[in-house]
Amino acid sequence: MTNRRRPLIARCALVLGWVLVPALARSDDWTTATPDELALKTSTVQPGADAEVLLWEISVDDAPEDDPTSTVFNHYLRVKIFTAAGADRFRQVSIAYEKHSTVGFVRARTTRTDGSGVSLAKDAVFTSTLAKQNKREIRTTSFALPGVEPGAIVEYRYREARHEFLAHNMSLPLQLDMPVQLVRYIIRPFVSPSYSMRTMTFHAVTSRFDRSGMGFHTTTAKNLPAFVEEPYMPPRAEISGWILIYYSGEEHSDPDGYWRDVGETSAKWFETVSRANGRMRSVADSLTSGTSGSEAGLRRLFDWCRTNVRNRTDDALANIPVPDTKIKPNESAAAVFAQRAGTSSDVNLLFGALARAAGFDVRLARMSDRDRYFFDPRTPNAYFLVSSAIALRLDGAWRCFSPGDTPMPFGTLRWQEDGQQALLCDRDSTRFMDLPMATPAFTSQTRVADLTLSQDGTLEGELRMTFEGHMNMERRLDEAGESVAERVKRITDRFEGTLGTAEVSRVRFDDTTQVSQPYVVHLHLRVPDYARRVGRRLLLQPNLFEKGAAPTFPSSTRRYPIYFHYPWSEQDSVRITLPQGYAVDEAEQPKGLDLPGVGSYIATMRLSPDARTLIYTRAFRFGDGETIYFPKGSYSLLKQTFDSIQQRDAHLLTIFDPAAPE
Amino acid sequence: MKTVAPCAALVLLVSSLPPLALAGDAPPPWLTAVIAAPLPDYGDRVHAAELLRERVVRVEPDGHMVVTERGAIRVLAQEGRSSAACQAVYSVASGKVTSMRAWLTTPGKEPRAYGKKEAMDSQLAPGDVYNESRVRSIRAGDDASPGDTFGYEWTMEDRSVFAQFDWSFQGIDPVLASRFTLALPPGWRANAITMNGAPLVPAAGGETLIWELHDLPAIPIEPDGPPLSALASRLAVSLVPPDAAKTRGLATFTSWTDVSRWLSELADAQAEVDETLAARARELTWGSRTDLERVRAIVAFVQHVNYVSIQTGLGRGGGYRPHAAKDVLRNGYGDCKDKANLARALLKAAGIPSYLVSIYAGDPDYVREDWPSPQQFNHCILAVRAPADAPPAVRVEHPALGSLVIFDPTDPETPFGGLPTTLQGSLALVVAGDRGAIIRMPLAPPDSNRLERGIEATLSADGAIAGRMIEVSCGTAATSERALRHTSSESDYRQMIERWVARGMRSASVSRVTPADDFGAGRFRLEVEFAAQRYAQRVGARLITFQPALVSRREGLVFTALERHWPVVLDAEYEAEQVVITLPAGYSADDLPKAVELSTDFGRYRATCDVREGRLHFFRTMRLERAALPVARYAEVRTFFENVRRAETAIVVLKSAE
Repeated sequence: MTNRRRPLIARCALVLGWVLVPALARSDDWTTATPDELALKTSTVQPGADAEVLLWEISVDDAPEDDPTSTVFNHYLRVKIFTAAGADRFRQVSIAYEKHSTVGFVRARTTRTDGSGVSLAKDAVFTSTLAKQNKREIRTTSFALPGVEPGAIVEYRYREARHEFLAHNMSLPLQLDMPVQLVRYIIRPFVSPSYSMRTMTFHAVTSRFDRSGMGFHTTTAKNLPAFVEEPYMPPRAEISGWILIYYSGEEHSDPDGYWRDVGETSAKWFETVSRANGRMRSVADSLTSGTSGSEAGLRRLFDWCRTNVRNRTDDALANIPVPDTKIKPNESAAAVFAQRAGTSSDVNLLFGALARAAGFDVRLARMSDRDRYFFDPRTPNAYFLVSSAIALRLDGAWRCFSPGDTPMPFGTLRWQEDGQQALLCDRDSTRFMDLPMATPAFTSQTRVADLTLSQDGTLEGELRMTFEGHMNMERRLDEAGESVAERVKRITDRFEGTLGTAEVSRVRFDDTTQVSQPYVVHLHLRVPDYARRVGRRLLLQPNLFEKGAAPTFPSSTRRYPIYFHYPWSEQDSVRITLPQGYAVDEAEQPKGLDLPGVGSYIATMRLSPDARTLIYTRAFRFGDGETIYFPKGSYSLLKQTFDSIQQRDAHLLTIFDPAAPE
Repeated sequence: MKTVAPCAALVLLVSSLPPLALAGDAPPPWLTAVIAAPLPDYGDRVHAAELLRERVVRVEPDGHMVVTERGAIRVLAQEGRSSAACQAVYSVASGKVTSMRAWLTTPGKEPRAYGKKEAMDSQLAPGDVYNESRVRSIRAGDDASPGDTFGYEWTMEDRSVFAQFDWSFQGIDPVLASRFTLALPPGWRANAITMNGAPLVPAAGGETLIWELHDLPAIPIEPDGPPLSALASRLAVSLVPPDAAKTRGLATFTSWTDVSRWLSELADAQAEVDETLAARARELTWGSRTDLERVRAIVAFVQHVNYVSIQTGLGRGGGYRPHAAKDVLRNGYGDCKDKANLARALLKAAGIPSYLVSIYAGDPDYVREDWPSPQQFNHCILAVRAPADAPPAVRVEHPALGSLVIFDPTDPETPFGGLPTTLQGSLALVVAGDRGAIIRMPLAPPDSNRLERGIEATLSADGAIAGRMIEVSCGTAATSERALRHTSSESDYRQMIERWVARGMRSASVSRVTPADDFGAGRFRLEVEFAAQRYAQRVGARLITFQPALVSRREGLVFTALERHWPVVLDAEYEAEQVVITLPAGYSADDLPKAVELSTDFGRYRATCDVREGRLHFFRTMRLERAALPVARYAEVRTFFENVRRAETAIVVLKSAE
């Protein structure tokens, strides 16, 4: 969402006071509950819900007569309560907003099951400062709804004015965390001779916008289920209904033409801000000296940007000492160079400028973020291009680089950005380029254990775990700013959580300052009672890494498609020296699992030539052919697959001491 | 009842001692001197240490107070960065923070100063609809590194009616020097008691009293241990003015009767019965034949009045004055004292006497009998004159009011006859004017926190298992289960049960989840049908192995640490489980878990497993007594629970005849 000051002319519009705001904004005329509504016992949209929204109405007024520089929202919610949890949800309402907004005209009423109504007293609305620091302030307007109980209908409305605001590139949600019978948006755009408000609707069926008087336009959607969180789900914008409103000069009926324009504008901007000055050219020349335009020279520029510019976005990961001076916003690559500091995008910009100065063919690549949207060029709107990288032509092919993403190695992108199309911005020949998704081999987890089993079932030895690619990035970001002790605690908790009696010691990490290098942790592990004694036998699960792991998909039902962020692979190697005198008794080879077109699972088990050491290996790969998205209908099969893998991971064998008495 | 943390209600004063640092970036001399002092080696587990914790209170002749606090905190490890912070809690209606400054000093570098721009002012209780209590804070954790020292000082003024306050000499971090200074006007006296430590004698100089402690060790917080409030040394002070008339009606208390009288004055008028209340009481009790039935009907209604907290006039005692019962009835919401007061009014209308009860929820040892003060309480419940057939588990005997039944109308999940665990065993004040007295709340036996589970299942030769589980919880256990159901949507609740079942049975799917609540009887029943295709595991060609304890306990056993600093505090509970599994044809038991029987004064555990007529019978039962076990017995406690864990993860091995 972008705030833009509107033209001065708008501020001169007639100030007619709030009396002209549509009636819904301030009316105390509440809808009388019908006998059917009062008698309703369960949600009509989603039976079993704790509450159901009968009507959710929001007016968005971008041209309020009383305050032309503001956007005024009038919110109205009418909810039927079914359960105590539903009543609890609506016993009080808090509306938080920043200092540049105001909230007022709060009205609320509860209609009890017998049809009687109780209204919110005007002095029962409290506005206070939630938090305030320096010039920033978050306020809250709160009130308690009277008489909320299962069976009641609660309704409330309020007016919110966002000052110096325009509803441009604003997403309007159509779903809530409870079912909605009817949602209605009433929008009055700001009127300008040069641009108009336009809309796009996603993942919901809405009615056509109808004129509803005084410049307002209305659209509705019906019977929308509750939005809920599920593990491994696509981004919310891809599974939940919403409307994008934005202003533009013309309707973009020709996506190709639209993207050409966007690319050209972006290219011009990039050319301007990535101009190198003399000092920058000197640095670029000295770094690439003798590399004659090859990748080696580029790598030097990349590394220089990583190690000489403080990346504010990844402050917690940075290995550059934090200067005491304040960092100013950068307006060009030269400013980044001079300040030796900036955001992740600034670091990329400087890299692009140095590469240009060194004679490389450089473009700006604008990309989406598939953690937020699945970008489709057929939807002509730059709103979705939220990220960028530097594209360079090497050996005739374009490749993207992003030194600003600290944990990613040279020539790779974050998972949020790969596997989609990027807009290669050019003055004359803008086009989309495919950003290949990293293969399962790029993101890997390699775990090695060398252990000894005692006669009493205690397993003890050394472990090493290595995480690469996107797993490395996620670990680095998760642990950003943490001390070694905190990281040790994470590791310890992980093993204690799955193995119960595990004792973790001697934890150490390989050099963690080079965050784009694989994350490697070593530790000593002791697990009393790991192998269970059953008479003369010891029962042993060789794959200690997966012992006690929680199921990937515990739920038997699924509401949304399944989406893994990236392909990955896992390799485990476990060596267990058996107690003196013990031999393998009952054992079968662990079974593999073929995942056609998606990946594979192979586990093996063997004894060393002297029969003293059990050697277990496991290789799991998922996401072949960029297959990381599965429709909801595949859930059962996918759950079964991961359950089968978990069962195979729990493969058991028995060992026994032939000399021991029965 | 007051809803602020104990320190929030502290009376707020001004220092008469060394002047505050003047505006400017340089740290004040007191901080420079403190930083120079050597620090002991606290070891790896201590992440921050307080070099100085000091509060100075000056009382003006009219009872107004000014408080100055200053402190210095050394960050010892990365995890201790968040300790580089200070905060002052105040009430907007009766106080204000007049200054707050801080400095972060790094050896060999210029200190960094924090002032108005960096100070954050926020609501103390953002979940309340409105609350006058606010907190001013400076947090320098993001800027701090190990070795840095954070120093701060702030001043507040307070004009509340309270002439009592308490102060903690430390938090969880160790403290080198902790000092409380009280500067009184001529003629004033102060009575002070020390909590969680030997009585402290103040150093006196004229009208100034100083209590001081040195070299306080860190207080590590441990699972199932006492809370910090029961461990850190605290000072509780009551001021005695020479002439109450000149102190704007400052509230002073010398006995619990004083406190009862003061609270009664605030509350009694709010329980007046008007025609609406009387009519509602008649409606609620219509058809009830006994007092017990009438009480049950009324309190069940009040329990389901929504909890909403609106706190105004705190500095004038507003935190202790309920809203008028008729207003709470009309609005259908209120906080703990509002709900207790509404119940009181409705009971009064029905001819049944009852009394508000002030209590502290969360630490049974928090309230001390030797400090009569309303500031010790954070919750309000109800005592009802015991009907003839009232449940004995929640009865108490009051010296003047006779037999009373204790009840918490704020807890919507505990029916009349039960008392939330967080309130059991606490000292509480029955508010009854001159007859008010402090009494100990009842302790419920293990049977009042009971869970019984029965499972019948069938195991196939391929390792699949399918069956049905019925779990019946009573008392406190039912309250927990009920709360879980009521605070989750139907689908969330189902998923929670699925996750729980899948934790015990790999790849389990749940086909039916049927909860049934018998609120009046204090019982909650849960029926679950499950199937797991791969529960038992094959070992080689002939063996099958599985755990007969199919589902894990809802709460894990927490005593994994080898060392213990504080006593182990156990709640009373009883759990029993009977599992019957029909075994696959052609398989017999090759190895069964041995029977286990553990018996101590704090708990008993028994587990047995046998096979009869092709069916495996596994039985486990555990009974824990409410107890606070000294550190010396930690090894014994740990061994007990370790043996329980071992018994519950024991496995069965079946062997094929072929």
